[in-house]
Amino acid sequence: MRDISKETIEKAASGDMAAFEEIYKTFSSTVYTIAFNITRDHHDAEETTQDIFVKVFGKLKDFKFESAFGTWIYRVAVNTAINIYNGRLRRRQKTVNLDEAGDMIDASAEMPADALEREGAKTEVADMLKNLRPEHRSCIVLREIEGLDYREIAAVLRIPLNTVRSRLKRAREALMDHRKQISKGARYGL
Amino acid sequence: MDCKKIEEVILTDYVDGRLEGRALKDFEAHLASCSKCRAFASEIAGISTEFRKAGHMAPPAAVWERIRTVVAEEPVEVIPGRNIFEPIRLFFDKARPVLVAATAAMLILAVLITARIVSNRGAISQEDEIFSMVDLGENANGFDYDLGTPAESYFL
Repeated sequence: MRDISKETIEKAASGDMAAFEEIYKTFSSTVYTIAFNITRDHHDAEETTQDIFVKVFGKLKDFKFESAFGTWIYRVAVNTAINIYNGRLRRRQKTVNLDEAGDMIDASAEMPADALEREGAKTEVADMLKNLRPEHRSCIVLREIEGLDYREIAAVLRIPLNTVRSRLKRAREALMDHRKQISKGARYGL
Repeated sequence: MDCKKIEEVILTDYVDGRLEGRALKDFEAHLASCSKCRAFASEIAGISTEFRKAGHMAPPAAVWERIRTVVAEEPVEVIPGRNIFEPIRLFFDKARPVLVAATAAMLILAVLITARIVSNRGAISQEDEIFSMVDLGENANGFDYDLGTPAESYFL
């Protein structure tokens, strides 16, 4: 897990922009990756990243150093990304109801048609993640992309170790089912 | 070993590197003898590989510019206790209206007291003058009226 010195945090808390930029440089790719993998949308990931760092800047003075700064940033990132994702989902559902569109929007239609999605592994990962519930998604992203161990994930998400284990199990089962369906579809030319 | 239980271990502890010692040895022995579980483990490992290959993504440079702009507009609240003079400054900042009112009241009081002293001093001077004249009258015959030091007396 990435982390940063107490001195840098204190400097940033007193308004030192160079120190705050150091925090941003250390955590921005982590935050953006978490945000993108949870929201599955580059625009939302950018908005989430901005929200998170503005929030972090405002809260730096309240940071008590009782836990690792990295844990705190991960937590803020996951919670903010899930909130933004859920908010967007609710707005979309409302729009669908208002429009009496009948069927729900296909999850794949939410994916932005930009270049990044066409990039091999990223596309594959994005495709796999779209079928997971946000809490499973955040767990698997923290484990597989961020490389956090069970204890660190439990600290970030404030859940027991057993819950981390069961969420990872369910997430991987869902990922395997999804892969099976994809390969079935490919086999029948769907 | 029960393959269903093995699958659960593959989905969690095995793929996440949490198996060790005797448990790991038993597990690997089962994998060596069970092609179904081996295939399952290989499939899960493939998913993990996809995630690792995807890796991190960096946000566009414009994101930092926007954050810096928003943050620069926010007032920075200095943390009490990080500067030893900060609590004193905070106290004076918060108590400023009270201190201004108290200073004004003190000034008015000082002016009133000074004015009263000056007016009282005038009255006393008149009385002192009368008493001096009385003293001079009473001591005029005894010649014990004090004219100061011998030198002062000489010149007077």
